[in-house]
Amino acid sequence: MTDAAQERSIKLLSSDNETFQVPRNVIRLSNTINTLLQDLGLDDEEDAGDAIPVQNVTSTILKKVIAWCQHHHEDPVAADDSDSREKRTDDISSWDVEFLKVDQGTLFELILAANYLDIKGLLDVSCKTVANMIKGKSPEEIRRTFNIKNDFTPEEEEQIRKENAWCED
Amino acid sequence: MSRSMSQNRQEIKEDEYPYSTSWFDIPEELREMIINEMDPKTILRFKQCSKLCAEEARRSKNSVYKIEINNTGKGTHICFHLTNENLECPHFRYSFSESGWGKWKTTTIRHEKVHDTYWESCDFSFLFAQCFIYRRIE
Repeated sequence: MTDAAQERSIKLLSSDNETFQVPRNVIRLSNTINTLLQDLGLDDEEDAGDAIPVQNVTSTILKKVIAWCQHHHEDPVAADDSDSREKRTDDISSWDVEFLKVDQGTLFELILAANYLDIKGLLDVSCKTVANMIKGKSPEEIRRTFNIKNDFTPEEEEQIRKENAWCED
Repeated sequence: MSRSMSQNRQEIKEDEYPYSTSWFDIPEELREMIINEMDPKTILRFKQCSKLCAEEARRSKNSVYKIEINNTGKGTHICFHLTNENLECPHFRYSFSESGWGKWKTTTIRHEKVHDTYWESCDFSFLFAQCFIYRRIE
C-alpha cells in the first residue's frame, strides 16, 4: 500500500444507512474490506468512490468495530497461532476488557461483525470474552446466561453429572 | 438484534431466562471457536447444559477425557485432548496441568499403538516413567 493510500479514507455504509469515513490504514484490519478493494482495483485509487455497504452490521456495531480498529491498527502483526499454541483466555488487554464490557446482545453482534469483516483480532478477543463469561459458572448458570434449554431427562442429567463429577475434585 | 441471530434462536419460554440473547444466536462455526477458547473444566460444565451443548463440546478439540495414571500419586489428572480427525490418525494432542487446573501445556506426540479404541495402554515415559492409561471416561 502506498503512503497516499494509507492517508486516504474509505466510506463504509452500515445496514441502517449510516455512512462512516474510516482511514484506510485503520480499516486495513478487515480482510473482507481489503479483499473487496483489491478485487475492485480500488486499493490504490485516490477516491474509492461510493460507500462500501456493510450489509450485516448496524451503525451501532460498526461504530464499535471502527473504534476497536482505531485502537489496534498500529499493533504489531500477531504470529500465526496454530492449534499447538497454549490456550489462554486471560491474555485480553485491559483496554479490550473495558471495550467489551457491553450487553450480551452487543457482544454477540460484535462477534458476528468481526467474523463478517474478517477482523481476526476482534473475533479472537470477543470469543475469549464469551468463553470467560462461562468460566466458573455451574451448568444451570450457563443455561440461564445463554438461554439454553435443558433437554436432558432427569435420569440423563444425573448420568452426565456423574460422568463429569471428577472435574469438580 | 439481527435477523440471523433471531433465526437461530431456540424456542424458550420468555419468563424462564433473564437474558434476551441465546447461545444459539451465534452461528455454529463461531460457537465452535468459543468452545475452543474454553478451558477443559468449563467445557465439562458446558457439556452438561443440553444435548446439543454436549455434542458441540465433544466435537471440540479441547474436549477432555479423564485418564488415570498409575504412578503420579493420588488425584493426579492428565486431561486428554482428542479431535475428531485425530481419532483417525496415529497422533493425538494432550494437555496436562502442572498444578491443578490453570496453566496448560499442549504438544503433539505419537501414539505407538493406535487401534480402534483408546483404552490401550500407552507409553508416556518421556513425561512419567511408564504411566499407563487404563480408563477413559467419555
